[in-house]
Amino acid sequence: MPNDPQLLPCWTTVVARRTTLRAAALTAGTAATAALLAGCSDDPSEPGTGGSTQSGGTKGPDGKKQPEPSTDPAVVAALSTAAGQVAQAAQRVGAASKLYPALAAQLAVATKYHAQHLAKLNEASGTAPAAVGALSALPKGAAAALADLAAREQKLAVAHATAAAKLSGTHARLLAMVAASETQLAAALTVKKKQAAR
Amino acid sequence: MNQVEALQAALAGEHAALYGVGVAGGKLSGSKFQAASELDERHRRQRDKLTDLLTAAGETPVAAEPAYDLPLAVTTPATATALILLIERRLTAVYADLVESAEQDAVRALAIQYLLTTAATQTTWGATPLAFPGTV
Repeated sequence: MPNDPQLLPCWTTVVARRTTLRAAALTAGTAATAALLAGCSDDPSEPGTGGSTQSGGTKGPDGKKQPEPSTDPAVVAALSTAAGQVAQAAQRVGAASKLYPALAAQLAVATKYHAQHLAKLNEASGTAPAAVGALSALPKGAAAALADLAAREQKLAVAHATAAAKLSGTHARLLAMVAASETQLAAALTVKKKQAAR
Repeated sequence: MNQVEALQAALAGEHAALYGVGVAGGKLSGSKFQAASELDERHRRQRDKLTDLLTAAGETPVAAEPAYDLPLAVTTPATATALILLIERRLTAVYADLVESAEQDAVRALAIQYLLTTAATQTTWGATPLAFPGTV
């Protein structure tokens, strides 16, 4: 399978096997190479497939397979818990943006991605959005608030990676990708925190 | 895609990543070169781990190609960084596939670990966060 260009995941377009590209160029000229290199669209806003044939999913409006709502209580519980945690984080980011308007632009990406995570988790769990409890007080000062958000984002990533390891298939993939996004958000907020401190 | 196929795809990805990071490292200096060296070492460890998993499963690990064509000319530190980002982003998708295809808890846990690591590496190398790293 790994040697079949038809089945190779899209990463191979990054560093393509020279023999494959050479064969393509010989048969169809340079346009074939360009097509191979352009074979994947990196749409960061949609969870989908990297090149696998998935099981247990339904096709979304974009034609990609999505995790379908689970009927397994353990899966529903894991996804609902994650959704509740993301909702809580989203509310905290929103509160920080209001309290410290200077942070609003920096936090815009987190706000946007939390909403996307929440939508997918609610969809996959097939349950109503979890109620969000009262927020604990935000730290005083914009830099401290940013550090608090970054630390919480990293904790979320660990929690969701741990939860993903207990699931399987598309649900595990969804939670793992949410965790990966949270890791990136935590790092981005930390970088900005360092920049703000300069 | 089953677990073995996903493991082979991940291993092939690591072979390609090692080649690409090696090329990119040649155009970097100072702290960026150091970071590329550490990245190279990590990909080497991941390659070896995937090889071990496939061997333990009675499979023949896919071999590295003698050479790979690069999607962009690596002539400057900026293009070297762009190549590394591209490699890490595509590897994230490969590991997301492995998370989904994993049939054993240990393989799934490893795939999640590598998925998060490659996602974090993207940020380290200057990428902005993505909503769903691993989507292609």
